Amino acid sequence: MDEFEQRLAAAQEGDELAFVYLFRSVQPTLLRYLATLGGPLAEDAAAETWVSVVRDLHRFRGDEAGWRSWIFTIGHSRLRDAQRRAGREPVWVDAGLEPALGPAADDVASTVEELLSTESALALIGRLPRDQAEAVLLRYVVGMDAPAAGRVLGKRPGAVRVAAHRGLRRLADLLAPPGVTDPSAPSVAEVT
Amino acid sequence: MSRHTSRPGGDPMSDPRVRELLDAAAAPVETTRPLPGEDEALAAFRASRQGAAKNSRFSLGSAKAAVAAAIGTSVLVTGGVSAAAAGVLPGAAQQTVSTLLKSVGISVPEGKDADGQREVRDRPDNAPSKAADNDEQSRDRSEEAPGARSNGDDAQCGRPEQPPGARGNEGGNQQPPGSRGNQNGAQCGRSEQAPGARNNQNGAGQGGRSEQSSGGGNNENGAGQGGRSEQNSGGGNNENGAGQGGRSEQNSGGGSNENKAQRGGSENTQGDQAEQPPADAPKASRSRR
Repeated sequence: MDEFEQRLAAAQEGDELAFVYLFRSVQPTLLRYLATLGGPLAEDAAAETWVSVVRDLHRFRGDEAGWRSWIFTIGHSRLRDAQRRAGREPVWVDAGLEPALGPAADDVASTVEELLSTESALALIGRLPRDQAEAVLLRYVVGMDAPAAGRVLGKRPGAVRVAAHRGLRRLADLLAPPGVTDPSAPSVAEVT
Repeated sequence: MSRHTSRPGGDPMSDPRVRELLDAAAAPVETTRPLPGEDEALAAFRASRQGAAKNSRFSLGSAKAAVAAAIGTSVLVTGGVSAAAAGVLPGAAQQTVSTLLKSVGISVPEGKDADGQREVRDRPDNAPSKAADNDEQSRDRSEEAPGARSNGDDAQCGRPEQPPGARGNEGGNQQPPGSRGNQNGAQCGRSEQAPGARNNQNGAGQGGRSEQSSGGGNNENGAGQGGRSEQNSGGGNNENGAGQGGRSEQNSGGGSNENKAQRGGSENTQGDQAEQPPADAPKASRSRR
């Protein structure tokens, strides 16, 4: 029995420290995922997610990957519910970018060069179409493989791979300096 | 309008800017301090544990109550069916249970009607009974319930009945549970024997009435034609009761009331142990069967 399984068993028996460990292992990426796709609805969706998790915690069986997939499935569903209630489309994360109109191409490039923080990176991912943003977040931010991401999104693994690939290509376009078409152009880190 | 900066079909992950962006998006988070939402999640965790404990206790109590209810119900049902099979339920209940069980192919004794008389309608021919003789004559009804013994000599005009547990009801007429030895009942009269009474022999004749209350002893040779011979609770030997039109009573505690009136009243009241002489008639004959 590995450390995760021990923690999970302890949490299911009511151990708060074990639960905190499990919470902290997932919550940061969960918040990033929900905030990128849901903006101000993220915190409420995350809270509802954990309410559901603690309610059904005693029934969960699986490894760490299954645990992560289970929580993100709940979070994805709760965010959809929250957005349906709010009657709005996915919003942008307020990370210094202009959500409504979007930054100009030059502004995006300069922003990446100057403020390549986690928030700004997530904001750029949030500019992708919804399906591409979801796939990129789950595959490259959360770290799921295609089948696990497909279970969260209710899609086939192939569809997730295609969406993620298109999202990455779109990000590359957004990050390229104006007029530069060479993919071997210097990276943001090299520039800075 | 889209600006494609990478080669079509190329791997976008080969773009260092994309890799750097993804690394920044997936940067680890310092988790030594409480994360946003941690307090709420922990509170939900505690509440869930408390709720689970309450539900556990509630479930245990509910299970106990359910088991107790199931046992009680099964005992009631089993007891009711058993009582119905033995025919000892009150009249209406016995009738109802008999009807219900008959619908599912189970035959149990019928109940009693409002007069306390046992129904004979639709009585199954194979009803359980230890009766040795059920010689029914015309106009007469002679029934013997399950467990009754020795109901002999059916009445000619009366309705000899013997409930469960009664013994020795010979000569018809009514004999309640626990009574013994009600022999030679009425022809067209009425001869009754209350619970606990013994040896009510040679009851009322035609139109007569011979009663023996609870605890009565030997009531022999009751009323004749139109006569009435009663022996109340605790009475001793009441022999040779009233004759035609006479009345002979022996109340509680009385002893040995013999040879009673033919045409007059003769009473032996409480505590009177003396034999009562006949009023104005020769001693009636004793006719014990």
